[in-house]
Amino acid sequence: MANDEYDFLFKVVLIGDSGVGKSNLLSRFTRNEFNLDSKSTIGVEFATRSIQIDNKTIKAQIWDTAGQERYRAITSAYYRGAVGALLVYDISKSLSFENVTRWLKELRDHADSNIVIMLVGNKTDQRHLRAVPTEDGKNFASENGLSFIETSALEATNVDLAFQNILTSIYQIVSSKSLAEEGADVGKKFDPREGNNISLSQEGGKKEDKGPCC
Amino acid sequence: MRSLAETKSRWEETFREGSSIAELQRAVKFNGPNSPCATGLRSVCWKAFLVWRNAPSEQWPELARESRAFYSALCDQHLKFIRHPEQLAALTVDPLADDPDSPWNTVREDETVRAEILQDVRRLPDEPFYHEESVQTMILDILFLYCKLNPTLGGYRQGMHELLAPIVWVVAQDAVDRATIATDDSADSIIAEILDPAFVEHDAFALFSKLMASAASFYEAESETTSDAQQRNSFVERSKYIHEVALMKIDEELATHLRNIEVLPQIFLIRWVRLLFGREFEFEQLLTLWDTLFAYDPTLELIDLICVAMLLRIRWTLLEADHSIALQLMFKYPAPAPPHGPHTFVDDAMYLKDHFDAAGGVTLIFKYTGKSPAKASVITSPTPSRIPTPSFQKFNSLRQRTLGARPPLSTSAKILQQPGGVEALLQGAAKNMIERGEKLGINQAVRDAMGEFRRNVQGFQETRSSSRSSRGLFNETSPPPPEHSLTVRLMETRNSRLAAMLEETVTNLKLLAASGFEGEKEKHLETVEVAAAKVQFVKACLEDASLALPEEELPAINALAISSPAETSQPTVALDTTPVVMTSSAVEETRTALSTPESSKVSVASPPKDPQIMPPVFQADEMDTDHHDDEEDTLPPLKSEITNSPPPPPSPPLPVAEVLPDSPPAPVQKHQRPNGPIPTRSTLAQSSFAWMLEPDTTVSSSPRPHSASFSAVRPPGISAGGGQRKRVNSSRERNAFLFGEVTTAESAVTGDAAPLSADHIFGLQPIRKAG
Repeated sequence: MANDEYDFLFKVVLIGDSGVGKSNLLSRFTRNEFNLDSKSTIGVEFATRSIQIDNKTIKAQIWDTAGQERYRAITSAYYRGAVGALLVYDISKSLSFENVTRWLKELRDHADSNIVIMLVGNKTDQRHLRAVPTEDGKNFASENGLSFIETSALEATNVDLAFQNILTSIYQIVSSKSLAEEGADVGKKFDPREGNNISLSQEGGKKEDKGPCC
Repeated sequence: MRSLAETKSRWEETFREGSSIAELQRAVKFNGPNSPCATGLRSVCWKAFLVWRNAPSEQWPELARESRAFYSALCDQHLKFIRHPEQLAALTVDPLADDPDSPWNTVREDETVRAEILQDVRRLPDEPFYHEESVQTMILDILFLYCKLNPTLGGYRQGMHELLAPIVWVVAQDAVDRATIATDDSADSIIAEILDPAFVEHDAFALFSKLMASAASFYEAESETTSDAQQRNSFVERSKYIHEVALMKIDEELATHLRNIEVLPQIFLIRWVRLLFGREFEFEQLLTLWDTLFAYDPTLELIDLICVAMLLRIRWTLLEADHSIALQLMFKYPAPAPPHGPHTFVDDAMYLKDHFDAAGGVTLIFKYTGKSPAKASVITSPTPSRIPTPSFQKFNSLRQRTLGARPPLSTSAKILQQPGGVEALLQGAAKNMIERGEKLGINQAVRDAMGEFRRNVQGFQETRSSSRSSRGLFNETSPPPPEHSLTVRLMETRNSRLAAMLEETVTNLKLLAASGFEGEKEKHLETVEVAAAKVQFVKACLEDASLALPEEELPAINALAISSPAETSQPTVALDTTPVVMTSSAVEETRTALSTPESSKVSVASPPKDPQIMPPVFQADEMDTDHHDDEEDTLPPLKSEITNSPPPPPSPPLPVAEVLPDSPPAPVQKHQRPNGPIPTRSTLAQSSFAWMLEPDTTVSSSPRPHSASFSAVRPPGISAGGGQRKRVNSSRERNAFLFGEVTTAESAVTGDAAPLSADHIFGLQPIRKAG
């Protein structure tokens, strides 16, 4: 853990059917690794990586869960505190795309209503097996107010971009909210001694080693 | 697959100590690397533990035949069309018929289930065996049939495949190569039948079914309804029990800390428990853990306490950890140090089952880390965790005065300030001793003896504590009373007597070591047992200065002094020089530590007029002498415990000319110098039993034991400099930013006060709650 300095800590969860590549998206982003035979996730895994946005260090704490864990033991613990979700399907398995609706419902039921959601069509390397056209994913995303991207964890295509995009979205929401608070409501609603979140979080001090960690 | 000849020898090895459950259990637990599961036939042991249970070995072939026939019938029933799709095609049933009972429909549904299972089977761990085509099919079929047979469990659940795979591996390993079997040799027929390679799948199914009979609850499906149901989920309940009941009772400080940093236990427990720790440890270590687990706990009731034991083992690191670091530790559990492999967690759990309280927790924490939780010491009466330095300065200067000019004791002072130091030293020595004993297969006896001893001490202290009035002479607030010089002298006397007790123990163990553990096991066992009890006793005495010492120890001092070839002419006690030579060996440190502040309380709590009230318990070798009967009234619980303990061993042989019989204790006031000269320390350190003093197990080898042992348990990736703690705190504060959170004042900042408008989210609509 060379890197314990950060300005913001965002918890982002990976959801989607079993076998769509959630764990490999995680390992590609946090360790730049891909394992064709990666073990199935039992319960939960997590990893972290820090990135820079707007000269701020954002530490992403990314949680990965077993695709089968829907409606199951750890659901509420899993979503608690999550500010972003990558909803992953496999472009070569139409069933995994059909199930996206069910995953969205689960988010509505268990996650914070302001959670930022990105739809991710993974395994674009399986071109010859594609079962879900890009347009379908795009359309579904815009209909449901999600952002959208297609990735390949195997080929390392768009993986960093996907995470960067969602983290940036979260960051913009948080910082704009903080600004609004500073402008308007601080005096009324907050004890000035407690300060506001921004100043509290920005005293993070010197930053080091923004590379992948864990 | 093995040849028949090798299998035969392994078969014999497996049952060398008998074929009953109890005998196999003992062998698995105590034979270490020579466990029948390691050098014999693991699959046979597992079958005995899980499937055959108490059936005599003659019935095993019959039982095997039955369960194999059962599995074959299952296959015929459910795999017929999957294995032979042409038979399905031959049926006169319309494949597209709308009948839900149509075999076509069943097959289609089955194929969906099998595809789900196969997806995980293909992702089994890297072990090449798992990825052989035939093995994958076998695992798939077993899981599929298990789900068919148990439809109420909610079908296949991820993780089951990793419980089954090691079982299949173990059974396949032990199968006999048929080519090596002579057809007419009936003597080998039982072995050949039990380990028939044609029935690996059948037998693995039988084992897996039995295991799942207990493990299924870890996988229990949940009704897909409201979030209220979540709260009743059995796994969440189990996690809560482990955290809020078991851990809270055993190590409240840790349980509270985990709650404070908001680590929800189900997050990591779900994998620990569902896979029976399969992802937490190396494969071979896991098998050893399962050996012990199946042997002693085939119904998996100890799982909760195994989890607690695992948490206890890393509790010091956890106490320093924030949310993220704690979770990382749980997800990547640090490999337990070699002598205490993962299987020892089962031992710990069994111990905790019998000691389901803070004292049990303290014992285990102590055993593995050499440190004792300051607050939670239950065996020891509460002692001030930090004793002010001024007291020590007085103490030291007094020592200097009486002993002549000496260099300042900078390092010793540090050791003296570590309240846990002494116990840690002794504990370290005792631990090593027990490990040696483990190899001899005698640790159970020792452990039992120690357990009993511990209960004795506890009971004893509880009865005493009520009558005890003032404690803590060097209390943080009260100045030392004027009689402190007497106090110190008394304490020194006491210390040297304690040292002498250890001396005797050390001599006995030395003899034992010299004998090379040849000869009667019984006798060695007794020796070790007695030694353990004595070390424990000294520990107890150091922990509680009010415990009076048995006067019988005094002769022992003299005897040793007489017998020791290294005896010096100096009448001064070895104790007096220790601080100066501290670094040379752990023995010196033990001695040094014996003069810790803990003991300084002796004069307060145990006035000199008290010597008659002594616990004779631990002197097992003298237990049946007459004078103890006089004390029966004062110590009834102890006495009764003694009679339950193993038969009093004979007095261990001492290299002693003659033991002085019952020399009456000198009036305490005269004990300005300890009576008996003690052999010089160099003798001890250089002796053949110096292994007992291995520096790595005694935290005291560093002047700052706490930090030393802490860094030892810290996993490398997580260690950080001194600033770690501060940063940990600040990162906690940053957590306040997560807007899912509903805690404290920050929640007002994030959520309630300024709720996000939809515009903030990239112009996207916020998700509406369903319904």
